[in-house]
Amino acid sequence: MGPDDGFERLLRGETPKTPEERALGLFLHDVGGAFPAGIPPAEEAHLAAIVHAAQLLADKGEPAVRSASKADGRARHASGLPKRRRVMMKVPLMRSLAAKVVAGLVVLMSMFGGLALAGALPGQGSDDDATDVVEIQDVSDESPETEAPETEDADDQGENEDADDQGEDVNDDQGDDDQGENEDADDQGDDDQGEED
Amino acid sequence: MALGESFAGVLEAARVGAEWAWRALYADTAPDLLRYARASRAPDPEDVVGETFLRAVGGLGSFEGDERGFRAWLFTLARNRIVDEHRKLVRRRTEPLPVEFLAEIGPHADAETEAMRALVKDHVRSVLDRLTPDQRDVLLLRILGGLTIEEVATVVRKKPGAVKALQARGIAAIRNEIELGAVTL
Repeated sequence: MGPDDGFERLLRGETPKTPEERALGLFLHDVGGAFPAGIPPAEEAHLAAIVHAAQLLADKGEPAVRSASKADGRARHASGLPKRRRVMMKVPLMRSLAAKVVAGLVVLMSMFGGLALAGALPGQGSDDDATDVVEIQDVSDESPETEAPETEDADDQGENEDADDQGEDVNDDQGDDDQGENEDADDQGDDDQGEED
Repeated sequence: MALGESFAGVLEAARVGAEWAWRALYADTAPDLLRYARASRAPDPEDVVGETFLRAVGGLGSFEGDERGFRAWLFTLARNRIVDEHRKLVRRRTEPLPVEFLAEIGPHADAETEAMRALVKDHVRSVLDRLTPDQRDVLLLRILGGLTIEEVATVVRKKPGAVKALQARGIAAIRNEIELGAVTL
């Protein structure tokens, strides 16, 4: 005899055979007493909703099933759920750093381009100004390369105390640059010579 | 099981929306559905019964079976509804007062009878609460619903062997509680 046999007998309404079954039978009786079977108080409301839905289903083939007792529930929207609105937002053009750099370069190029067209850039004006500019450029270009070594030589060796020598060296270097490496300087030199002629 | 051999005719009449047929089906099944919903602690047991029948109206076209199958199908719908209600309660994190509570606190008989009934109910609930939800579900469907092992297996979507095991463990737990004196009434 299995452990569930007594339970099955009790469910069938048979009398218990053992004290254990009797105790279990009392509990089952108490369960039935604690939750008695009864017609729901809302029977008529339920039946009205059930019959209404069933007749709609029979007539139209599609039931309009509605809740029978949740009359205070949330009403359905006639047009369904609200549609999600499209958000219009201004997107900044200068969003990234690269865009800013490119924009800056464009501004600079257009600025210098405008100056070039207007002839206001160095080298496009009078010859005297160009000469002056060339000289200034030469000094600024050569000074880091020439003066620093000369100064080091002076400091290290202590032999070259003659400032004229240094100046000659500088002039020599400038001359070498004009003739050899700096073609712009050569051109300018030619221009100078030409004008002097 | 009051309908018996007339069940097939009642079902056919219910399919075409005959009110008498639905009244018969309701009277035959609703009381047991209601007590099962109450024992399962449904927040609104009457609402479970009403919704169960409304779902049955919608699905009756696809139902095939006899009276016992129809009964088991209704319990399946009711159980699904109760499970949904419990899930909603968990999400809402609030527990509204059950409607039946208002009816229960009102006087129905003399004070002694009411006190004894309340005592019995408290003891039964205390024992049932010691079971696992599956064990409680199986036993309530068997005791209050009058369903067989196979029918319960259909309702809870388990194999009959699993239902048998749940039932055996539930009965063992109840017997332990009885021995401990928890159900001494």
